[in-house]
Amino acid sequence: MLVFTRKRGESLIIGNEIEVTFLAVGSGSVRVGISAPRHISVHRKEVYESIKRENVAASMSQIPPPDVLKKLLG
Amino acid sequence: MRTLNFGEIEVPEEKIIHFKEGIPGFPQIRKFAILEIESLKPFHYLQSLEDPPIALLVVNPFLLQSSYQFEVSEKEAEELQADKPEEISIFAVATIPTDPSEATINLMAPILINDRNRCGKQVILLESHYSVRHPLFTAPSKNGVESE
Repeated sequence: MLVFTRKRGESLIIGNEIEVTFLAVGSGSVRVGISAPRHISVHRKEVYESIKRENVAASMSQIPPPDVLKKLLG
Repeated sequence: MRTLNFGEIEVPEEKIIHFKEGIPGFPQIRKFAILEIESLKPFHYLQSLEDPPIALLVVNPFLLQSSYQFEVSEKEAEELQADKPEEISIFAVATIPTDPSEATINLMAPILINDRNRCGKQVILLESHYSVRHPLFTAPSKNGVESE
């Protein structure tokens, strides 16, 4: 991991198109602005991780036999 | 035509769905196909055509939650290159644990597929009150207490 120290208002550029700006620094939290091209999504890590976890769990799903599935679906 | 290890099926080129960034957890899988299997309906498989050859059970979320609604940001809509909303098919990924009555669907991150250009993306809804694990079945729990 690259580590930088930035003051309020300063930025980082990632690649040629992504900019991260540290808008405000409080005690315990930082307000961060991100400019990225439209094909790159930005999410809070914990949200992303929960989707990732769920996709992995879904990939390991045990499909119940058709009769159980039908009964459950009603 | 593609063959894969799911009973040696072949998928015609026009059925291949391109996920530019894969999906969270499987960012390296760029090609999927929807497999419709009669005995699983209304579920379908979102089958990976690359490694690993995972298959995710998906379902039309509106069948199970008719009030489901969300907005897609302009950025996401542009990325899917959809000219009209009707071009987009929406699926929710289902997770079926060992006890199938505890199955859930992911309403926080639906899979959107542009039927016209075969682009797909799992869109994480911002400001969403929907759950990553929305219960599939509303049934009394084992100790007789009604669950949501």
